Amino acid sequence: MKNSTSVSEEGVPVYAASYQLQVKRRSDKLINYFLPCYFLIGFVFAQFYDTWEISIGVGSICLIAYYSVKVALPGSNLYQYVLSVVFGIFMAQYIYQMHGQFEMHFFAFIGSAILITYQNWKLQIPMLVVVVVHHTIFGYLQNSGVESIFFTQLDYFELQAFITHFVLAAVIFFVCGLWAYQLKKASLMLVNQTAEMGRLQALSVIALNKEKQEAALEKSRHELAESNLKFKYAVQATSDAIWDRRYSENTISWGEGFTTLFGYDITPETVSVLFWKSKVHPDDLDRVSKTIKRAKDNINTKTWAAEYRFLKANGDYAFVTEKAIILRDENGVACRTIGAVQDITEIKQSEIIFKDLSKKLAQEKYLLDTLMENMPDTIYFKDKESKIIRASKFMATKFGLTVDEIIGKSDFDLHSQAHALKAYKDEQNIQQTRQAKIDYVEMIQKNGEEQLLSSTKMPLINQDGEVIGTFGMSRDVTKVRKLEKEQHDAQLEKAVAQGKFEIASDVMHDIGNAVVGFGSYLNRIRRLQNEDSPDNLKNLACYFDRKKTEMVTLFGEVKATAIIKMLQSMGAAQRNTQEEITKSIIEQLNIITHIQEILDIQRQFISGHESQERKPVHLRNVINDSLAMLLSSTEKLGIDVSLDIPTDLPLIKGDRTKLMQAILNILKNSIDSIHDNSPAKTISISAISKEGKLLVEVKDSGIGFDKSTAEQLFKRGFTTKATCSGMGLHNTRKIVECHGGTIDVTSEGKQKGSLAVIGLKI
Amino acid sequence: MKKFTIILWLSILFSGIGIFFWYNDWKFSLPTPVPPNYMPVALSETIDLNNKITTTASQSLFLHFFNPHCPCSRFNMAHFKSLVEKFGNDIKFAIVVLSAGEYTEKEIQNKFKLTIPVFFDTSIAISCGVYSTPQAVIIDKDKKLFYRGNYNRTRYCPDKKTEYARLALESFLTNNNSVSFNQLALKAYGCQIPKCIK
Repeated sequence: MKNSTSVSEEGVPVYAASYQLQVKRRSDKLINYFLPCYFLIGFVFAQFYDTWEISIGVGSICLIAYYSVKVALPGSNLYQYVLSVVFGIFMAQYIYQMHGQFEMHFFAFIGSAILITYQNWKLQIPMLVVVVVHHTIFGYLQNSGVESIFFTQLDYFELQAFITHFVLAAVIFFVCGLWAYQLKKASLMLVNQTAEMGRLQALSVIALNKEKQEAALEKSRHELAESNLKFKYAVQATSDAIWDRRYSENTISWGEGFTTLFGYDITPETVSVLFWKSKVHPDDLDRVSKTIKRAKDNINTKTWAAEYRFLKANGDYAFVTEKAIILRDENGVACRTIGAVQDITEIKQSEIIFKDLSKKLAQEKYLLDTLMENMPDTIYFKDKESKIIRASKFMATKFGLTVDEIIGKSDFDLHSQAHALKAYKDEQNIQQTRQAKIDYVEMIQKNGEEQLLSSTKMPLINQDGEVIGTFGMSRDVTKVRKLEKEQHDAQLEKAVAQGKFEIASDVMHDIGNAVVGFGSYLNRIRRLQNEDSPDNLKNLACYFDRKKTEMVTLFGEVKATAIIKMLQSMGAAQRNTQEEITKSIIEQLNIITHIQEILDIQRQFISGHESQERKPVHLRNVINDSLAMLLSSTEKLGIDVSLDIPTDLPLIKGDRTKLMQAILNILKNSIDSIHDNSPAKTISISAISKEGKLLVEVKDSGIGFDKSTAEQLFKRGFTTKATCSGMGLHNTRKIVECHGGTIDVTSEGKQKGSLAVIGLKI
Repeated sequence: MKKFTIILWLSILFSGIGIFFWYNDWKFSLPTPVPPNYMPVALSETIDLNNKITTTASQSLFLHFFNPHCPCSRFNMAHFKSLVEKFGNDIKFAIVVLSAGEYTEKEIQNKFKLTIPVFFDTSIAISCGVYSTPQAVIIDKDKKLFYRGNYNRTRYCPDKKTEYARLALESFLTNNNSVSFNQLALKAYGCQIPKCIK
């Protein structure tokens, strides 16, 4: 050992430690063969006297004891001492299995010899202790006469025999221990001698090349100094703090960077490991401590690295990263760790900001993608040359392309040359002027049809304020515009109709007033006409005729006859004229009555538009009242009216007057369609409730109508009768529709009657 | 803490080893359980072997009850052999095999390297009151039971003082009836006779 110490400065202990490590590894490997053999030998002996339980139980426990300690404490030699005990136990097992066969004791010698491989004489002691303790205890018990102890085949285990036995065993163990010691000593000596030879050789080379060596040494020193300087500058430049932790002293030596980085002055207090621990962030301390312990305990680990937060003197926490190398002794036990700590707070903060930005960016991207993916509009971004750099899915699909395929294309690839050229010019202009073109409508041709697009284009400006292209969107507004136009036309038409309606109302009012006045004049004329008898001239002519003689006498016969004839002809003419006038007055009065009827209907129609009175109405009563009003007409014509209306007919909500007017119109039409000479004169009225509706059917045997008439039946002003206005069925339909109902009038043809069906909501 | 755990762990393991040894030793130190239908046969009682084993009028008989599968039986094979070699001319030795296995006379003789007769009839054991192996039985020329018991106090038969069968045989041959045996000699130790014997 002295030799080792003397050359320690030359690095010999490193060789010695390395050699011992090799011995340990080689021996462990050998034991991995020997121990299973021991275990299997137990099985061989078990066959003799069925001692399987012992061989399996004891053998297994021995293996577990050895390997469990080896795994639990890899850096310790304890498992080798356990091995020594295990060899002793195996020997006892074999002796037991073979009932004390003397030869089994030889396993003590085998075990002892095997242990030499570790070159550690102390390993002989545990096995020796096992043998001695075992023999001593059991020998003593047997000698004491304990019946249940059967230890030796000898009747009495005499002290002399015991001592002999013990001495011989001790000699064996001693000799083996001696060989182990000698082997180790010799090996170390060999290693040391080799190292010494190397050293001497180096010295001789140095002596021979002293100047060269000195120059080299000087150069090395210079390089070392330079290296140290570089290292110092490097440390200063990198703002790293170098540290050296010694486990045996439980200290950490800090370099200058420590003060620079964290603001602590280097004092005896800062050298303590406890100081370092007190400054590590509490949330990180446990994790970092565990990584240190793991690295330290694992014999194969050479480096250690960790990131954590360290409290600075100013009270802020700095993010730091550490990297270190672990130095170990010859047994692989960590004794020092040398490393550098670097402040990475700014990097960490940048990372946090970057992560935050990435998250926001991802969110923004998601929103944009969602927009571009789902909006049913053409949305695009173009570069300076008007080539698409991003487009909505709707746009790509419109041109039969995917979103990726449309990238790089321009309007010249997608639209007509004229349209593309116009769009290109627009976009170039927008880029130059930086003026957006907002919400303008353009028309394009698509599949031969005109399409209206509402578009917006804007300059695409980057963060530096440079125009890098354009972007925009357009929406197909063809349908919207069409709908707007339709609504506009409808409103216009409605306004016109309203105007017409109002004008018509005024006109009708004036006409009504005029007609009333006209009627009164006609009646006055008629009255006067009736007062003015047409027979006066005739009576005067008859009077002159009776007095003809006197007239002849007075005027002569020719003149008298002429006067009488003239008076007779004048009387006849006056009568004819009066008859004609009377006839004309009657016609005029009829026309006035007709006009008044039309005006009445129109007024009712107007009032129908204005009032929406809805009350429960019993339709059966309405029909009966209508028939009563028309009774004189039906009786006059001899029409047979049949009624089929249930008494429990449900009520409907409506305007009784309007509904009665509608029913009257239908019945009047039916009565008017039946002439004096009609072969059958019947009108049948029925009403039923069906599927939430009340259906009224009016069937007549009248003249009916053909198909062309059927098409115009409800047209305003259409009539087949000379004295009618053509408003009856038109108004009837308006009334029914105002009640949310339907009306249908059909006929199988001329002279085949007609059927009117009114459906009203219950 | 870790060292303490390791020490505790090793203590548990080595205690386990101790328990294994103790349990096996204790198990073999117990006397053989007496079968439920066992008919005791007292010493000096006449044994009727029904001529299963023939002897001359002046010949006494030493029966060795043996089971090759019984470790206890195997323990004392050498000891029995030494008895045959020593007293073979004075008494007729025979082996009675009580085993579930099938063996021929030759196989058994080869095991002992002896040419003495071998019997496989279990009724011999019942007649002699034997219910374990190994057991020694000495029957005098009047067919009376002189000794039935163990060979030795120990399983290994190395204890000269407790070589009960040898001592019985020697006293029998010297007509020394004064020898008395304790329970360790007469109470049967060893393996039970297999229940199913072909």
